[in-house]
Amino acid sequence: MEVMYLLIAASLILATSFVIAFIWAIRSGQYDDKYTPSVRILFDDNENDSSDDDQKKDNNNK
Amino acid sequence: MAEVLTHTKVACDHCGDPCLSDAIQEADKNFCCHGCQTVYHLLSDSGLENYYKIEEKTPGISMKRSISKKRYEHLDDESVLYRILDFYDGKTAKITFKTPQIHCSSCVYLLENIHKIEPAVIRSEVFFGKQEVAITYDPNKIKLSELAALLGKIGYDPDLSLGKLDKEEKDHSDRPLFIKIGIAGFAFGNIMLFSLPEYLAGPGGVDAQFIHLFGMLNIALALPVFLYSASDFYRTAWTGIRQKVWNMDIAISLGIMAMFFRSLYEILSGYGVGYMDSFAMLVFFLLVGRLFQNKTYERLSFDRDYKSYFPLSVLKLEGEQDKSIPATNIEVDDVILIRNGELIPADSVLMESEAHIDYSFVTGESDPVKAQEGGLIYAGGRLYGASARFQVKKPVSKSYLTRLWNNEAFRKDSQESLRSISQRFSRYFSPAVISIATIAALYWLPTSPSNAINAFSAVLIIACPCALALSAPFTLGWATNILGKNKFYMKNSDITERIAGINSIVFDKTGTLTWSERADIRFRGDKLTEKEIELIRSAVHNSTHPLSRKVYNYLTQDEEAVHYAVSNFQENPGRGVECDVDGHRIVYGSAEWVGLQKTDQSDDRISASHVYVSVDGVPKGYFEVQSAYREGLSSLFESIKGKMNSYLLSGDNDKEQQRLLPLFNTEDNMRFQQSPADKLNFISQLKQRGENVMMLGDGLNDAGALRNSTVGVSISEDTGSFTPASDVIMEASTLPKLNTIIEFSKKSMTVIKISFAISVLYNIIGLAYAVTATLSPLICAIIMPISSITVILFTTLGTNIAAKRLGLEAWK
Repeated sequence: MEVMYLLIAASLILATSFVIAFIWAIRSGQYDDKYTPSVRILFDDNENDSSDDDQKKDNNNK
Repeated sequence: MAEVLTHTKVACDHCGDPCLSDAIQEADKNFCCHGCQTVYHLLSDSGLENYYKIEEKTPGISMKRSISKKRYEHLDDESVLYRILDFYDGKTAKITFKTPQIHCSSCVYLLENIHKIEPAVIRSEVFFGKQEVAITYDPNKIKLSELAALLGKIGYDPDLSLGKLDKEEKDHSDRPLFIKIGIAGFAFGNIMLFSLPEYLAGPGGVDAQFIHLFGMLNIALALPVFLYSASDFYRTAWTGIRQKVWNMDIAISLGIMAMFFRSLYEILSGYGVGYMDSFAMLVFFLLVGRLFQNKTYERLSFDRDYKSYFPLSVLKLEGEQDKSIPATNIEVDDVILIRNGELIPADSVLMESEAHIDYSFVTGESDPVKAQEGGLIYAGGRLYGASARFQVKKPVSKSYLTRLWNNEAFRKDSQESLRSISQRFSRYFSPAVISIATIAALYWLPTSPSNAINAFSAVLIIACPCALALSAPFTLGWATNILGKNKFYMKNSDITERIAGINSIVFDKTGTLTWSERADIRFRGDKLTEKEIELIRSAVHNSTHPLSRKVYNYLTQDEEAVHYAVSNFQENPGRGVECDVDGHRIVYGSAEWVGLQKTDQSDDRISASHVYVSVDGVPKGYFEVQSAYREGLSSLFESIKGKMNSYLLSGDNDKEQQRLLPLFNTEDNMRFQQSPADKLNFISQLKQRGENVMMLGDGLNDAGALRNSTVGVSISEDTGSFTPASDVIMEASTLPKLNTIIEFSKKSMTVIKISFAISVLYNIIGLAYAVTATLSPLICAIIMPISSITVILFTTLGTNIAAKRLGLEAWK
C-alpha cells in the first residue's frame, strides 16, 4: 500500500501545477479578450507579402 | 452640359455602398466617393490589401457618412495629452482609443498592422469586445493628433470626449472571480477524491493511517477555499450585519463557517471525516452562480453623462491668438470659437450678428433655431453654418443642460431603495434557520451536550442556502441572456426584477416613438415631371441638412436613380440652397428663401416641416416632411392598455397631439414642450404616487428622467451609437416587443419563487436528519449537489420555456 503515498504526491503535484498554470493564464490577461486572438492568429505576414506580389502580377497582366 | 454619370447597381469596393453620382472608376475598382478611394490607395500602397479578403468583401467604413471633419490639434496640448495617455516615458507612449467602428476581423487586421502605414507606430493591439485599440508609438516621430487623424482618415474615427479626461480606472474584469472559482474547483475535485474511499469502503473501513492522511490533506486543500475563495460572502454578510439587514450571505457565511470548523474539529479530534467535500462544492457552485449573474456587455456603455457628449477641448480666443484648452477649464467671460458642426459646451452669448443653432440634442426639435447677436445660447446646441465666437456666461458644470446632473436623482443610488426578492426572502430565512438550530440545541442539551453541538452545527450546515442562493443568480442570468438575444441589453441582471414591477410607461416622442432618420413625405403643388424629380434629387443630394437627406431618400426609390453633376452650390444655413443642375437653376428651402408665400396660414397646426422648391425661378410647390412613427406602435399600445398607464413627454410642440391621441387615450397623459428638468419632475411625481415607472428615451434631454425612473431604457437604432446613461439599452426594433419583455420578467420572478420552494423542500428533508443529530457526511454530500443541480436545471428550463412561449428568442 506504500505506493499510495507516491500516487497521492504525484496527483497533488500535477493538480497543483494545473492550478498555478490557470492562475498565471488569468493574471496575464489571456481571458480578458476571447475574440481578438482567434482572429489574430489567422493573419500571416509572409502570406500577406506573397499575396501582394500575386496581386501586383495580376495587375501587370491586365 | 453635365452628363449622367452612373445609373447602375455598382457597389463601392471599399465600403459596399451603392455608387451614385460622384462615383469613381479606376481599373477594375469602383468607389462611391473620394474618401473611400483614398483609403483604398493608402492601404494598397502599404501592402495591406488583405483587408479586403478576410471576412467581408467590402469591410470599409463609408467615408461619405463621416461628415464631421474633426480636428485633433487639442490632443497635443500638454494639459490634455498627459491625462489621456496610458503611458509616457519620453521615448514611447501608449494610448487607448475607443473606436466604435470596429466590426469585423478585417478591422482587427488593419488596426493591428497600422505600423505598415505609419512607421512611428511601434505596436497596436485591438480589443474587439471593448471596441478599443491600444497603440504604442514613438512620441518624437508622430504627434498624438496626427495619430488620431490617421485613424480618422482610414475610417476609425476615435471617440474622444470630455469624459475621457477623468479616467477613473474601473476594472470591470472578472479576473479575481475566475481565480476564486479555479481554486474552489481544484479543492472540490481533490477533496472529493480523498473522501470517496471513506464513502465506498466496505465494513472494514479505510486504514487508520490513510484516514489521518486524507483528513490532513483535506484541511490543507480546504484552507485556501475558506480564506480566499469564500471571502466575498463574508464581506457582504458583514455589510448586512452592520446595516442591520438580513441578507442571503449571512446564512451562507454561517453555513460555510459551521461546515469548516466542525470538519476541522472532527478531523483533528479523530471523531469523523468532516464535510470538507460538501464545503468546497458549496463554495464552487455559489461562485459559479455569481459569475453567471455577472454577465455584462463590454461594448455598451450605460454610464454616459454629459461629459461623453461634450468636446474634449475648445478654442479659446485671447486677443488675436487662439489656444485650445480643456472644456472643463472654461471660465466665465472667456471668448470661444466654435466651428460648423461643433457642440457649444457652456451657456454663452453669441458675438456674431447671426447664427443657426441645432438644439435637437437638447430638446429633440429637429429644425435649427436662428439666434441674433447677444442672444443666450444654451450648452448642448450644435452650431450650424459659419464659425462663430461666443462669450461664456456660465462654466460647463453650471450650464443649462449640465445642471440636470446636479439634481439629487443623480446622487443617490437608485438601486438601494429596492430590496431584491432574495433579500426579502432571506429576511425570514436566516432568522428561521438560526432559531431552528438553537431550538434543536436546547432540546438535546439536558441529555447529551455533544449531540446539542452536533445538531446545532448540522442545522446550520444543511440549511446553508446553496440551492436557494443559486435560484436568483441563475434565473436572472438566463433572463439577461435571453433578453440580450432580443436586443434588450440590461446593465445588470437585477433590473429584471424591477421590470417585472413596472405599472407605468413614459415615452419620449422624437427618436423614441418616431424614427430619427426616416420620415413620411408628400409633395404638394404642381405635378413634377420625371426630369424635374431627377434635377431636385441631384440638388438635395449635396446638402447635409437633415431635411435634405429625408427628401433625398424619398425621391430615390431605387438604386438606378439618375444623378446629375451639381455646380454653383450655395447653402445658406437655416434658409435653403441654390444651385445649378444640368443647366437648370434649382432653389429649395424655406418659403421666403424660394420666394413663395406660405401656402396655408393654418400650416402651423400641421405637424410637418416644409421644403419649398423652385425650378428655373418657377415655384413648384413644397415637400411636406412629417416624422414617421415606428412600426408596431398600435399593437404595443393595444397590449399594454388597461394593464399599465402610458404617458408621453415631448420636448417638441403639440403639433402631433391629434395624431397621438388614439394611443394615449386622453390629452392629460400627453405633455409637450417639456424641458429636461420638467421631464425629471414628472417622473418624480409619478413615483410619489407609488407608480413604478419605466422611461423610454433617446437623447441627452431625457437623461434626468431616465435616471430618476425605476427603469430607464434608452432606445437606439444602432447600439454602437451614443445613448444617455440608463439601466437598459434597447434596439429600436425591439420596441413592439416591450410588453412581452415585461411579461417575461414577471415569469422569471415566478421561476425564482418556485425554485425557492424547491430548495426549501430539500432543506426540510435535510433538517429532519440534522435535528435528530444523525446527519452523516455522506447524506450531506448527496443532498447538497442534488438540490443545487435540480435548481440549476429548473431555472434554465423554466426561463427558456417561458421565453419560447412568449415568442422571444431563446437558447436553442
